[in-house]
Amino acid sequence: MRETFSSHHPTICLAFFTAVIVTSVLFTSPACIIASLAGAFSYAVYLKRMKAVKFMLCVCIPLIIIAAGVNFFFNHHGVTTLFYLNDNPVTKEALVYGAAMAVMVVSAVLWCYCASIVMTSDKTLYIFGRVLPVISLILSVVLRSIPLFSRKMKDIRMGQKALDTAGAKAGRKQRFRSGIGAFSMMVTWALENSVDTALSMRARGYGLRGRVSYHDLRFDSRDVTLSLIMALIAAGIIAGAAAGHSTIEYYPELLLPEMNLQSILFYCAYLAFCMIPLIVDVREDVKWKYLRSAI
Amino acid sequence: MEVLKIRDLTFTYTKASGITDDEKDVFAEKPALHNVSLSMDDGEFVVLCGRSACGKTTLLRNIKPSIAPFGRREGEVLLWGRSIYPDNSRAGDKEQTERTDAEKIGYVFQDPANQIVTDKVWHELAFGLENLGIDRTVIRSRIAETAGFFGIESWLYKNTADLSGGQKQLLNLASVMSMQPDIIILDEPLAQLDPVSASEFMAVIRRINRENGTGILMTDHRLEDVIPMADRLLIMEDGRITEDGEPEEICRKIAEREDDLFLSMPAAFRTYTDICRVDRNAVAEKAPIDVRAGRVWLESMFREHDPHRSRVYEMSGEKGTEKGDVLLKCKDIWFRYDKNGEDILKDFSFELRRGDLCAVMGGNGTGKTTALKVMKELVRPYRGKVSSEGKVSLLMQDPRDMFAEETVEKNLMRVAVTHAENKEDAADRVNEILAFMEIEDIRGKHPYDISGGQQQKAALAMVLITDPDVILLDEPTKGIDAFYKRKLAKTLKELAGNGKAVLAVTHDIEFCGEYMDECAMLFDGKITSSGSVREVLTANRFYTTAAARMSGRLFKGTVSAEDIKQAYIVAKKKEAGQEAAPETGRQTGKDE
Repeated sequence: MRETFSSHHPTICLAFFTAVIVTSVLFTSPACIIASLAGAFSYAVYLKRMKAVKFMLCVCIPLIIIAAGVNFFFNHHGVTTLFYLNDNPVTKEALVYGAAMAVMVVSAVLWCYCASIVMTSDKTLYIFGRVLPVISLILSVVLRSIPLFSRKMKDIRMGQKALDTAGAKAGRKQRFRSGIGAFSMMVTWALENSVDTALSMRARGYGLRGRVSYHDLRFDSRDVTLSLIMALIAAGIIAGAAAGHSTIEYYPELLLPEMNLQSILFYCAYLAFCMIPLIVDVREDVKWKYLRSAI
Repeated sequence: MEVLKIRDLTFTYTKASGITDDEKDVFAEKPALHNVSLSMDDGEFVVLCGRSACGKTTLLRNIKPSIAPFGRREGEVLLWGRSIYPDNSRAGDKEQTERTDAEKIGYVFQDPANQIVTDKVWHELAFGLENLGIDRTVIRSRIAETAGFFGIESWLYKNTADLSGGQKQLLNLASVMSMQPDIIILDEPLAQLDPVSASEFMAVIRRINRENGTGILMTDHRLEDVIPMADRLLIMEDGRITEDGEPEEICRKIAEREDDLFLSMPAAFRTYTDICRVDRNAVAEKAPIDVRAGRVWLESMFREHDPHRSRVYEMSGEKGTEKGDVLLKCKDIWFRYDKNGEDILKDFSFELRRGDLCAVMGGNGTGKTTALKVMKELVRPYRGKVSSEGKVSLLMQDPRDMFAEETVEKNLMRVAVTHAENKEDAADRVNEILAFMEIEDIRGKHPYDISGGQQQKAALAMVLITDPDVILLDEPTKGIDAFYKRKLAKTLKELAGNGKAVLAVTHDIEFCGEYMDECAMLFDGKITSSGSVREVLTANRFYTTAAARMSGRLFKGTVSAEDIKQAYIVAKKKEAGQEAAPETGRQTGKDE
C-alpha cells in the first residue's frame, strides 16, 4: 500500500511529527488529549490495520488502566474526595489526572509508532545529510552493517553446530566456550569486512574534496500547499495556546474550561491538525476510487 | 590508442612485521612483480590468468594508486600516456591524479558483499558520483541510465542487504560504471557466484565492452566462459608475465607445456588437445575454445555420420553398481522458515548409502542449502522424517563460518577434543589430519590470514576430524582453482572408498560431471531426477557440462573431456573396422 502523506517531502513529515508529539505532551486539556489520541490511533490503524488495533488493545489499554489506577490509589491530592482507603482520601482529581496523563503518554507512543513507519531510513538520512553529510554516510554504512552482522552471527553459530561443538550434543562448558569463540570470530570477520569496504570507498574516490550528498527529492507544489495549510492551522493553534486554551488545572480542584467560540475553534483546529496525515491519505484513496469508477 | 601502459614494473612488498631502521630489512627479499610490461589498447578485453598467489592481485592493485599495496615500486604505470604515480608534484596535480584514479579506473573486488558501502541500491550507485562532487541533476541522470542499462530499475529502492550474490556483484559493477571509467579492472569477480549468475555477469561485461567500448582487465579461476570472450590472454607466473597473445595461441602454448594451468582451460580446448595427442588427423587449423567451435570441430571428425538418426557411440551408464547400506534417509520432508513463508522443501525424499559419492545440483534458491541443514538436523522439518546412522558432519558454504579459534591447529584441536575420548588421542588425530590434508605449513596461522583454498581445506579438515560417517558439503568448489578442485575430488573419492557417504551440494556442473559418481537435480524443493552422473547429465540439455553439450549429438554418456576422448577412440576404431566390413549395419553399440 502506498501512503500519500509519507510520500511528501521529509521535512514536512519531520515537522508534523515533531509538532504533534511536542503538543501532545504539552497540551493538558482533556479535549486536546482526546484529539491527539484520536488522530494518532486512527492514523496508526490506517497504516497498519489490525496490527495497530492489536497494539492498542494489548499494550496501550493496559498501560492506561495501570497508570490511571496507580495515580488513583496512590496520589492523594485534590479536594473532591470520593472515598477513603486505609484512611487516605481517594479523590476525583487524581482519577481524572491519572487517566489524562496515561492517555497522553499513549498518544505520544502511538505518534512515535506512526513516525517510525513514515520516517524510513532514507528520509532520516536525507534530513541528516542536509545538516551533517558525514553523519548521514556513517548512518547509511551502519544501517547496512546491522543485518549483515546478525546474519553472520547466525551462520557462525550454525557452523559450530554443524560439527557439534555447540548445540544440544555439546556439554555446557563446550557451549560456553564456543559462544565466546563465535563472538571473537564475528569481530574478526567484521574487521576484515571493514578493510574491504574501506578499500572500496577509497577506490571510488571517497576523501576527494567537494563531496556532495545526493538525494532525489524536490519540494514540489503539493508540498508547498500542504505546508501552507499546516502553517495556517499551526498559527491558529499557537494563538489559542497563547490565550490559555490548551491547558487546564487539575489540582487542587478540577476546573473544566469554559466553552466559548474561541476555545471550540481552538479544539477544532487542533483536531484538524492531528488528522492531517489521515485526511491527506484518505483524500487520495477517494480520488483513486473516483478515478477508477470513471474509467 | 593505448589506454594503459605498464613499463618494467617491479614491486616489492613492505614487510608486514619487524620493521627496523635498516633499509634492507624493510622490504621482502623477493619482489612480488618482476619487470612486468603490459599495454592495453582502448576497449580491449584482456584476461590475466595464473595460479593462486602468482601476483595477479598485486598487479591489478598497482594499476589503481588509491588502493595500491605498500611497498617499493619501480617502473612506470601510464594511463593515456600520463603516469598515475606522479612524483612530488604540486598539490593541484595530486588532486587531479586522485580524481582521474577514482573516475577513470574502475575496480571490482572479489567479494560481492564487502565492497558495498551504503544501505540502499540507489545510494550505492550515487556514492562514487557524490565523492566526485558532481551536480545533482547529472547524478540523477547517470543513475537513471546506469540502472536502465544494467536492468536494476526494479530493485533500485531495495536494501543492499536483501540482494542475492549475483545482484550484489552486478550492483558493484554498475556503481563503478556510473562514474564512466575508461577501463575496468575485475579481480576474480566470479569467484563467489553460482554459474548462472556468473554467466549473467559475464554477459553484462561483454556488453559494456562491446557496446560502450570500455576496456576490461580481469582475472578469474573460472575460465570456461571467460576465455572465449577475451581479445587477449596473459599468463602470469611467479610475478612475471610469461605469455601474452591471442587466447587460442596462448591455450596452445599452455597445452604444449603440460602443466596444471591446462586444467583451467575451457573443456572444448582440453578435449581437442587430448584427442590431438592420440590422433594426428584431428588437428584443426584453429583450436576450438568454446562449445560451439568444439562441436563443429568434433562433428567434422565424423562427417559420414548423420547425427539425426543415431549416435556414433553410447557409453554405458553405470560407473559402480554395488550399493551399500543406507546411512542417511530423508522421507517426505516439508520445510519452511516462517509459518507464513513459502515452502522451501516440498515432499523432499533422499537416501544416502555407504560408499556414495553424490552431488545434489540445482539453481539458486531451490533449497539446496536448506536440504543440508535438514539432513544435519540443524533445522526441523514440519512434516516428514530424517533418520541417520552414525555421525553426520556438515561443511558450511562459507568455510569462515566454521572457525572459532585463532589458529588452524587450535580450531582442529577444539573439534577433536569434542569428539575424542582423551586429549592425547586428539593431538594425534590433529597431526594425522593435517598431514592427510597437506596443510601442516599453515597450522599456526590465523584462519583469516590464509587463502580461500586453504580456508576450504582447513574447514574440511575440521569436518574430517569428527570422523563422520556421512560428510555433507555445501558448495565445496566455490572460489577455488582447478588445481585444488582435482585434489578435493581425489580426497572425496578416497573417503567414499573408505566406506563413508559423501554428499556435495553444488552449482558446479563441470566438477560434478568430471568427478562425482551419482547426482540428483533439486528443483522447486524436491528431487526431480537422480541417478548416475552420466544418466542425469546426458538427459539434460542446458543444465549439463560443456563436454556433454559439445558431444551430445555424436555420443551418449560423455560428460567430461576424458569421456569424449574415450568415446572418440572407440568410435574411430569402429569406423576403421566398418570401412573394412561395410555390412555391419548397426552403428551404436556397447562393445569396446
